[in-house]
Amino acid sequence: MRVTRLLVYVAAAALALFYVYPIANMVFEGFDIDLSSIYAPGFRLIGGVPYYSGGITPSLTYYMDMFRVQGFQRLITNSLVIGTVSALIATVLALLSSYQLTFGSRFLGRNMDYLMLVMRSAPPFVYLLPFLIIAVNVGLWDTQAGLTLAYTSLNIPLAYLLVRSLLRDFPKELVEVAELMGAPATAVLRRVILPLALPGLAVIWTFLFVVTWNEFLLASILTGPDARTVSVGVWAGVGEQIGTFRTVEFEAQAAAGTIAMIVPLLITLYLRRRLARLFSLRV
Amino acid sequence: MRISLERLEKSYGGRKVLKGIDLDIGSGELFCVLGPSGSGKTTLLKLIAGLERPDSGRILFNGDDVTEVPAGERGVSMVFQNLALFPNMTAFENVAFPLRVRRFSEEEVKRRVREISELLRIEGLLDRKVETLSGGERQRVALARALVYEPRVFLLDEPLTGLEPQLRREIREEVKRIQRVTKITTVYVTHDQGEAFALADRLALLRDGEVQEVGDPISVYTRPRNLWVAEFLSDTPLNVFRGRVEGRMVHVEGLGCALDAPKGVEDGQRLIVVFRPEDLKICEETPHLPTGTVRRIEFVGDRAVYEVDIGTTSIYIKEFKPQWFPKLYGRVSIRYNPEVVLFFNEAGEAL
Amino acid sequence: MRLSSLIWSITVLAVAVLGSLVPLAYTLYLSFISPGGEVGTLTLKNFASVISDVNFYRSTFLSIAYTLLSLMGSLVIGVAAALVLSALGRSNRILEGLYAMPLAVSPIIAGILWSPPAVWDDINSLLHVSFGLPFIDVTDAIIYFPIMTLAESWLWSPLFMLASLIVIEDIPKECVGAARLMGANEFDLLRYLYLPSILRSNVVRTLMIIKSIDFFRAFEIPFAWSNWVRATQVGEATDTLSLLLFKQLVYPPSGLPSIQYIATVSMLLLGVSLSVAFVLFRVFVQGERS
Ligand SMILES: Nc1ncnc2c1ncn2[C@@H]1O[C@H](COP(=O)(O)OP(=O)(O)OP(=O)(O)O)[C@@H](O)[C@H]1O
Ligand SMILES: [Mg+2]
Repeated sequence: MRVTRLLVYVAAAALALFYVYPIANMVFEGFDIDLSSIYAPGFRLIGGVPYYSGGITPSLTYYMDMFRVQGFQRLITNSLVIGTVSALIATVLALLSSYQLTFGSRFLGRNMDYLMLVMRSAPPFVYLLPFLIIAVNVGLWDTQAGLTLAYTSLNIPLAYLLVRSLLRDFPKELVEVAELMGAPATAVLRRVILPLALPGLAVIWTFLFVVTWNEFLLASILTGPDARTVSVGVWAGVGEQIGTFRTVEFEAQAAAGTIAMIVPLLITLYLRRRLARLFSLRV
Repeated sequence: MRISLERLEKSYGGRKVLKGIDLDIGSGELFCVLGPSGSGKTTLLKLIAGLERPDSGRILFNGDDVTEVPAGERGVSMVFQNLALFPNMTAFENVAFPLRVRRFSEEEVKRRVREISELLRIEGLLDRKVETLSGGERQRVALARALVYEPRVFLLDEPLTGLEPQLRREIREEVKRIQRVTKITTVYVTHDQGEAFALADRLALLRDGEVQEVGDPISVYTRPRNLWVAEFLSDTPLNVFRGRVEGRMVHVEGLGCALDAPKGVEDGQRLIVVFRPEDLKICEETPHLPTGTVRRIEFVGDRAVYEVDIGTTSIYIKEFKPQWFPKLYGRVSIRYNPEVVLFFNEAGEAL
Repeated sequence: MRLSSLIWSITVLAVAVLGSLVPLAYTLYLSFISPGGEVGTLTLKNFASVISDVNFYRSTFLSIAYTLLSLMGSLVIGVAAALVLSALGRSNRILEGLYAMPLAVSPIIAGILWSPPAVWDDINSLLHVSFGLPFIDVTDAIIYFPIMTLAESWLWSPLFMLASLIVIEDIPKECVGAARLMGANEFDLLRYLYLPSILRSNVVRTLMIIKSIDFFRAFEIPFAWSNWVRATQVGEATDTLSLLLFKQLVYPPSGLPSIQYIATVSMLLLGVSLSVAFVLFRVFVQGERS
């Protein structure tokens, strides 16, 4: 019994180390503090090559550089705008269409579910290529509007599936009663369903926002210097160009990664249980 | 297995739920614990099972102190108030569970599950998931699971609540039959006095964590130890009157009649006089008997309950298979049998 | 009423068009035009060249391996974390929050966090300085491939943990009491109650399916690692499908982005996801009806 208890504590500590160490390491690296110099003082590996380091020298260099020189705040604005708008459009479209399909035509609903499930599991390049070519031809490449459009499209299948499984949990009688009393569909949605579904919709919107904020592949191809988002900026170490492979300074990446993590961290810590419940979606 | 509880106390968050319980439950006895909701019945069972620790007091099995013995090692089984069947398992897996954790061989498990299933007539249900079973079927599975490993003590916590009357009776008889066959010491908790009377060898009445009375059903019914017990045992309101002893007689206020005084009362003493509704009879208006107007007639098949307004108060009368029905708002008289009147002192204790 | 039903139909149409038809049709079209490029002539040459490309098969195989390892990793670690948390007591919110932190980390950051300059340099320093062990060469494909899936597990196991916790907490308290009363020890509880409940629950199963799809498409962590280990050419030993397509687009061997190649592979994969989705759909729809 004692031994089991001890094992549980050891496992808990090991898991905490496993989960937290990489993040802690990044946060400290952002301030130019190398954690390994605590247990391996005077010794340092950089990319597998041993160096001798003079110990811990905390500094704000990378943050100053990030905000003063590189203008990371612009990337944050981009990400906020693009994430908010595309998640919002996707959620609203998903709400309207899945409301229609849940309480209206069931047959159509089934087919739409299937289509969206397929698109949810499609390779990302199915979205990337068309939007790249369209954006380049229409002049939307490297604009907030272009990326917002692409993300809306990418988010629609997931948004649809989540909202639909949310709406399915409401009894159909709720809508039928309202319709019997002569309320038009818009009124039923606005007065009956929306108030009930609002907390769930908020969680879905937040989730889509975090997913968009964290997305890398589309953003790295569809943006240049102007509309670049946070996650691309993190990889580039807020440097010049992205899209091809290049070496960057690890500390710059760590500093940017720390900043990029703040918003999603607050959201996920607050909503973690509800986020996990989202995945019990019944398709 | 004889169970003795000595001054058991238990509180939750500073609130005393059990206030010093002393009970002796004989070996092979079917013992009922009867009490209203929140009186601590479930808590008492959990203490006996070892799922909760008492704050103070001791629990003895055959004279051995088991207060500190963990739940799994007491040889106790329990049917929980909500049954607590494992939702992820089939009926068979549920029943087999206690055998499997005892590392019985799979053959032995199969044999024993089959035996107990025959006893409880659930052979046909064994492959079904728990959630597909009906309420009554679940009860049987829960009973089978509690009995399959031949426990030394069997605890049941209101196992029949929420079932229809026929099924209640059926399973109640089943429990009684199995208990008679297996002779396992059984503690059966209920808030239904009918169920307790039908089942119990002896029963205890619990109120706010205190034992009010212990005894066999007949003596508890005929000589309730206090007014609360009498009231709790009746499903119709009792007819409670104040009385005063004068000479060898008790004068009942509001009824205008006098009864022979019970032994051991003094002249001038005030008493509480209780007429049980089932001990009264209704008849056509007769002189010298309490007389009043019929306010309400409640006819429920095999019996009828009348509420008669005698001016100062209302009297409830319960008659079985009534031969004569009064008219609503008609005048009637009430007959009583002086032999079965209950007397209590002013503190509510039986005389 | 007329107008509103028109609006309804338009939103449904918008979802279908924007969410699937545009990308789908366009990619399909791209997969049928010839690489040389007269507009209007459709050809099957792209499919022929993909099917005869050895990189395609290797990447498919690698993606499958990547998916299986990552799924196993995140399931095992996540369930273990949930069990540890519930063994510690039901109200261990702080520890649960710590364990859930990776959920906030974007995949590309996870690719950075578990990179050689971050965690592995530290581990190597520790091994070397404290125990005098030789360095682990994490740029070796046989070593960094599992590490990538470990990073993937680190990133997503908290989701499995939370889902498992939800399942565990949904088990009625009486059931655990009943099991203990019948003589079950911790191990029995685990074996008969917790693990089966978790693995048979709807939440965890859905999560497994969805994350399998995501692991199969995973891009960021392999991409980051290909940069750390300088495996930037098409046809490296650890190109998963997404990475292969990315390289074909950004770093093509021929010098020109092979749009047709990418579109064709995507369409082939879409065919796979079409049938996978169909199976899932059947399973779920039937699950709901029964
Ligand atoms: N875990 C607990 N924490 C706090 N209070 C509790 C707990 N368990 C029981 N109680 C309180 O103790 C009192 C007795 O509870 P118990 O469940 O034993 O009643 P009971 O007689 O079984 O009632 P019922 O017939 O409704 O099942 C109740 O007032 C209840 O609120
Ligand atoms: Mg109870």
